[in-house]
Amino acid sequence: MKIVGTIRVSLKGLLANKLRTFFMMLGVLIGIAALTVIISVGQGAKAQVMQRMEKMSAFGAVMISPGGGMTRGLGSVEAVPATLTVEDAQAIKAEVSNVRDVAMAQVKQNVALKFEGQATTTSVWGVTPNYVKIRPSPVARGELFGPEEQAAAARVAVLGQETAAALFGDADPLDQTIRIENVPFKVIGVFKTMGATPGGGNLDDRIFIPHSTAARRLFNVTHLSQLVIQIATREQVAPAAERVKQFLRERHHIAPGMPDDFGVRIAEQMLGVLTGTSQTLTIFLSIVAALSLLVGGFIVMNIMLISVSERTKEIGLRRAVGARRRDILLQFILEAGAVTAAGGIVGVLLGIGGALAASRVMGWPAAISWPAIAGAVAFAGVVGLVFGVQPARRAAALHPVEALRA
Amino acid sequence: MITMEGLHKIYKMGDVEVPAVRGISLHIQKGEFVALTGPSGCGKSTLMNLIGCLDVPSGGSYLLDGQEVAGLDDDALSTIRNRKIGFVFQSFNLLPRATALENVELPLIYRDEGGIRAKAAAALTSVGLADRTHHRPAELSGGQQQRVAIARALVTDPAILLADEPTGNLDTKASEEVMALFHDLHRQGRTIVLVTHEPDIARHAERVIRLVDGRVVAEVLEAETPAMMETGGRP
Repeated sequence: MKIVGTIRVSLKGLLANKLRTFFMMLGVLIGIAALTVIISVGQGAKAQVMQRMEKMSAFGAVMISPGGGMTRGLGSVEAVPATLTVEDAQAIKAEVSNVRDVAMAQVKQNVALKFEGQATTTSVWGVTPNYVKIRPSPVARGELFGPEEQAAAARVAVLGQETAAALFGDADPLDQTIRIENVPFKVIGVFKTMGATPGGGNLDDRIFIPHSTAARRLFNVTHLSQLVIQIATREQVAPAAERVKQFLRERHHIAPGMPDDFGVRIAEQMLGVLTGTSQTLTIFLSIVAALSLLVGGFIVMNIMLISVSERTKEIGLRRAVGARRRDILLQFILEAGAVTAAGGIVGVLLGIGGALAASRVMGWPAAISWPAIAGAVAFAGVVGLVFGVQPARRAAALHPVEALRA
Repeated sequence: MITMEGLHKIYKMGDVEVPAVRGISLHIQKGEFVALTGPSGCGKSTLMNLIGCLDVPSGGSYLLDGQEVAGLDDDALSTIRNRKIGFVFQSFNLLPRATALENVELPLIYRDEGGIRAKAAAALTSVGLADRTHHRPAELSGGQQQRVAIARALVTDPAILLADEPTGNLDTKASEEVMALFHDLHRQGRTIVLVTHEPDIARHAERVIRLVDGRVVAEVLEAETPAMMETGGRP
């Protein structure tokens, strides 16, 4: 018997009972659509995290924050323990191997800013000039400060896009004088728009001033909010982080067994944590969707079993006119296969549509991952075959005489 | 065409063996029109299933068109049914959602050959239903439905036409039409085996084989009087 003929017979069988075929399709369709949405959104979320991390470009660096435990974001200088100092930074740079450069940051949140009639508050970052090299922060206009300004403790400031907009509106901020806690600063640059950090911080609402200026003229403290240590190569980041940690414990005279008075973070680790979380969620949701697909498979099997028992007489007739067992088997397997394949394809299309719609409405990112979708469709096909075989075998096993008598 | 020697068929109902056909020897020539008759439970359905290769005998020999059928496997039996047997059933057994033409095409689907549509159309024409090709069974009268079924049996050009109570579900007029069609086919040289419990229908055949309790008790030729058939004895 020609396979084309069997396919035609199967399709006719499906078209003969459209409602039943629709329900079988639906069972598979929902599972596949859910899988597609989950995989697409999961991939999108991962891509977004990567993108944000790349934008910060703190790869290849070790970040030290004052105080023990896992500190989130940057602590305001008046709030953090005074455990991290400029001397620590200089010592690390001088004595720990594979350290290329050490940048320092003193951050103060909710600092009052004024320009003529406009007032706002923002976070002020007193950073060494090398900070923006390790964590690139390109300027849209004007320029960054360099070693001269750092050495002279110059009163110059570079504004984030939103901060600039809050103070100046559409006017040009360059060379204007703003007041930070009533100390006059000259605006020398405006950063490019940078967006949010993976931790949720806003990179566009802040001011950079030289670290020396911040320490001496504004905050009057010597301790730091953060050290950013650039390591020679990315491969050496993890061992270097460990050496820095031991070095600081010795410098800070921390007895063995006592907790650190500083925190060590590696961007790569954060990336791992963040993508790991979304990956775990994606895997979990995928399992749920796969289970729903399994339920869809059972629906297919049940409906096919009903179909076989209702069509016993038809099967008897086909056997009488010369259909072999394998022709009947193939007919019913193809019916189940065609339904699940159609359900899979429609499910993928709906899933892609759903993922794109969700990303637009909810602001989620969505990335269509074709290999994953191909995998989902293949899974649907396997489900169709696995659950289609049993009813088909039952149909093929019918004795022609008894089937005709039904 | 058909040569049976000492054919047996025994069904097992649990531990009990029920013999349905007990040693039947039978010869049917090419071009013969034979009726198988007898009371219900006489084994004529079982014999028909054996002749039609729907079932295999428990013992004995069955040569169909020169080929030994006893001992063939399921696939081989399927192929023989497809090549050599044309079935006509009491309840027509048409696929309700398929057109007359599609119903007639059915046996050809299980063959590896082309021109299916044309052959099916020709078979429908030969039973006088050329104008009903795209009707579904529900849109046809009982007699027309049975003629579609006969076209389906003929479309493979089988060695024997095997009809099981073909008029059982038909009124008198339709029955006569169908029997007239069988006569036409007989005249064209078809070998026909007709299974019926109705003497009036059996009378259409050239030869009547009467079964009781799984054995042939009488073979009556058309030339002989119906009365003799009733006596159940040879002349």
